[in-house]
Amino acid sequence: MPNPFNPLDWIASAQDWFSKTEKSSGFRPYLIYLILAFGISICLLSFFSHIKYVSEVALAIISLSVLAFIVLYFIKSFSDPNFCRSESHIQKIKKYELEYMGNESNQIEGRILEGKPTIVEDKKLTHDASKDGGDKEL
Amino acid sequence: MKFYIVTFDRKSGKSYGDFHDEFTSSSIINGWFHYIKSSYIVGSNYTAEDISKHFTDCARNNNVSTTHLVMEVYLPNRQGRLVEDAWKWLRRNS
Repeated sequence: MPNPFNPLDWIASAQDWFSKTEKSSGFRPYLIYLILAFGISICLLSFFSHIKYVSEVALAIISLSVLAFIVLYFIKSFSDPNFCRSESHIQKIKKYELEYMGNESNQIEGRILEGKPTIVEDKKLTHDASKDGGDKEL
Repeated sequence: MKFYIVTFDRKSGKSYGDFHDEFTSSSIINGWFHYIKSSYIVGSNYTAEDISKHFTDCARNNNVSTTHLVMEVYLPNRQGRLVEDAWKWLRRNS
């Protein structure tokens, strides 16, 4: 059980969360960071704006965070496009990337073969008709 | 020619297209059957050791899991649920 007063436990919890979050949804940790940065800046502007340089610091936090967000996404969109996509979208794309299946003389697109049982229904799957009892289609 | 079932630990969300092309296009594979995503039946004049080595090389070259099993199979003793083309291949090679 993590101790809420122990900063090391907070770090461990954050590390654990980052390790389990979807790899492709890389924007989520950054989005949380962005929300925190905005929250701090709004608090600074609301309650401490009378202190010298606080306004500048708050605006710097917001602008640097937003700028870093734009730069990060610009780089990531080229180096690791999946970073910016949702996990379900990636899974859908991967499904369409199934290799050719079938056999050496009759290759079938994997997605077609995989889709058969659901698209054409289970009736397309048969037991071996050459065995005793004839075609034992289920 | 002997027939071997090659069953492997396929990871979801991973592309196996290049692995498939390299594995099936080798001269040691005379015929192949791939109607189930995580397995092949291959016809070959080579041994299970040779096919296993070939599988491992292809898996490493394409950065997919090398976990697999190669085992000789007797095609006439069969039953299951597959598309008709798969049964045709099995009948033709039995």
